[in-house]
Amino acid sequence: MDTNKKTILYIDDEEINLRLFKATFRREYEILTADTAQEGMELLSGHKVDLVITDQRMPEVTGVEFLKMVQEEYPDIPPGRLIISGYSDPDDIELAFKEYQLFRFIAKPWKEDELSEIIKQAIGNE
Amino acid sequence: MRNRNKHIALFILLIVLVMASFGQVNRTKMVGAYVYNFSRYTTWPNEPKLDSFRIVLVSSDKGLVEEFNAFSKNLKAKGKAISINVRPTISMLKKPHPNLIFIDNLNSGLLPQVLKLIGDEPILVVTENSADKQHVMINLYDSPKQELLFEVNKANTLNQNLKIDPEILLLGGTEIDVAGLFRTSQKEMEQLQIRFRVMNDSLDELNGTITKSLLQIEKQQAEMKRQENQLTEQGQELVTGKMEIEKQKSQVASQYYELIRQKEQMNEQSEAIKKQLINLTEQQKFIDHQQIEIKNSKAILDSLVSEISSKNLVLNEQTLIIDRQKQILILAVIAGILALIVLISIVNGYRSKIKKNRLLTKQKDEIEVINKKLVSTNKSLYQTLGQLKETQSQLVSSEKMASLGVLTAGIAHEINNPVNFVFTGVNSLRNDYNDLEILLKEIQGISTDTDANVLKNNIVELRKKIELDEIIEIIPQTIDDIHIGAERAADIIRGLRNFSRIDKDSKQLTDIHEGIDSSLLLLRNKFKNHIRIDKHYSQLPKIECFPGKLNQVFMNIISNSIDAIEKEGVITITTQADDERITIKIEDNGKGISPENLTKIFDPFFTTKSVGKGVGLGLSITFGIVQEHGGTIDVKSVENDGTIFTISLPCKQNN
Repeated sequence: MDTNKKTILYIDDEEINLRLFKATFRREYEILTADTAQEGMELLSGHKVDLVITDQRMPEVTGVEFLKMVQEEYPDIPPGRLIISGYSDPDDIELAFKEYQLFRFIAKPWKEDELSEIIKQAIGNE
Repeated sequence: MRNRNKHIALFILLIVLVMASFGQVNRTKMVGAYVYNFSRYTTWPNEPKLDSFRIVLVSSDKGLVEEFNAFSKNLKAKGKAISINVRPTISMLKKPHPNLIFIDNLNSGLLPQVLKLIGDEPILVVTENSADKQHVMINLYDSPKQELLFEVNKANTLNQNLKIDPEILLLGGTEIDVAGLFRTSQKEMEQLQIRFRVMNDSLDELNGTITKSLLQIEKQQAEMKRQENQLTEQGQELVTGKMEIEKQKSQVASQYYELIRQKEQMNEQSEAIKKQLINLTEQQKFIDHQQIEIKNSKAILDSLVSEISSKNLVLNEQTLIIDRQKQILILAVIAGILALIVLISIVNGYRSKIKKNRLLTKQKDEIEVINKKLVSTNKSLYQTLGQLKETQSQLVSSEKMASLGVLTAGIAHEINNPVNFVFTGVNSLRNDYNDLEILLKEIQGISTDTDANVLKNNIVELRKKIELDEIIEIIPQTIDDIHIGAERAADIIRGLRNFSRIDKDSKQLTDIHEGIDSSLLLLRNKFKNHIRIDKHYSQLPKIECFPGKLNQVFMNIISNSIDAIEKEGVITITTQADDERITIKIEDNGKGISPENLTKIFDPFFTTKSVGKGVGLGLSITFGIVQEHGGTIDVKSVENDGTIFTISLPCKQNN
């Protein structure tokens, strides 16, 4: 494993999204994927994670709920490193006003350039 | 130039004055001429900015108003027009502020008020015959020789920031000697104070005298009171004496009366004795007389007896006649009474008839009024009905739009995911190809000269660098994912086309399963995370229907089923067919419908959803569509257990 690579945890209930995300970013980052919030929490406990990206619409636990849990458990991860992704339908936009002031938001479908730019900014140059 | 104008004006004024002295110009014209010239000889601080000179004329004098209007029309002051604003009185200053206010003779009392209003604004106040020399600016006055002259209080004009050309005095004015005025008024004040003091002293003196007199008056009053008391006492004594005398007087009188009475009684008694004596003699005479008379009477009585017996006979006869007449009379009376009764009843009947008639007419009128009301109510009911119909059709279309909204949101979401697969997959593939390209170029560059060992080393190195094993593993997977994405998008679009296909006028043979599936596809976003769909489809014949409308039915019912399931649940869709009809059963295990609501669910506008989530037309429209197809819809529900909708449709339509 390349120890210089930053680690991104991506959670989405759509398996294909997970696979494609990994295929896209595997060169620059270490990618961990989970298809439920619970699995995501388990991965967080076993790995040092630099950035968390989660889909908003998932069964049981939504993206916002998951990130709130992450904040409580891992207060050392800055809010700028917690990203919500979703389709910009009216509900999500409303949520964006209420909750995304805490978290960043990436609209689906992703534009690769935009997504990689946001990821770079979030992880930053420490 | 200015000087020349001044001279011309002076000349005009002189002419006016001269003419006045000949009695040809009246006083009004002179007032006008003066005021006009005051405006010319005065310099205002804001003068360069002025478009015109504004003069307020406080007067109700028609002549003055005419005169002012005339010179403002015909003349200019320092090249600027003059405007006149006539007011019968003045209580406030309007903007723009006037430059000159003229207060006529009758209104000269307003001067203090006007001065208060203008404050230190640069406004020239011209008065007429004002006595208040201390506060005037320019005052026109009639001299004892009947000449109209004016006086200027320079200090006051300076206070208002106005400069008045001294030449103005040539027009017939004098400056008010302010110092003199002050001295005079001071002297007057002193004199007044002295007089005041003198009056005060004499007042004090008077006060003393008054106090003394008051004391004396008090003493006298006390004396008077004392004497009054004495008088009262004496009066009381007198009254008691008087009363005593009265009493004795009345005693004497009563004794006197008693004596008179006793005397009278004695007289009466002697009289009575005398009368009794006379009576006795008279009674003797009377008895004698009566004895004679009795004898006479006896004879008369005898004759009378015989007469009476004869008369009795006659009487008997007459009695018989009278009895007969009486009977006749009674009969007649009875007949009369009967006739009267009949008459009364006839009259009564007539009266009640009239009454009834009146009542009838009244009722008729009332009925007509009610009728009219009914007609108008009917009309308004028709109108309301029309409006209701219109509203209904609007609502129906809004419900359609609403379900269209649900659709679009669902479709957008559903289509976005597969599109995301395609986008991301292609990006990933491009990255993979970029890596592969390095290797491929190396291979492309191979020639017969290439050293096999170097090549082998290069390729091995590159293979490691680009993680070829991983690429080989990922590429087919990515291609599959893109394929899935594209297929799913195509499915959705097919479903959408199916769902919203425009119904033609005639019914078409349609596969009902296709309709149910496309509804499910469009609603997937609403249920995919928490609801399982169990389909039990039987072999179904294609049926004659309007497919678009039936899809709306499935959409409405399945959508309600999804809304009924709050956490996790199952929707079971079962289809069956016999020779003539097909049955579609849609069953959910959601919260169910309460019995009282169950009877209303097909009513228009019945909804349990919050405002904005639905107008309550979905099931009523559904009901209408099923009826239109000659079908039936049936609902069974148990609260907290679930709901079953059963739709039955004929395979063939009759018409």
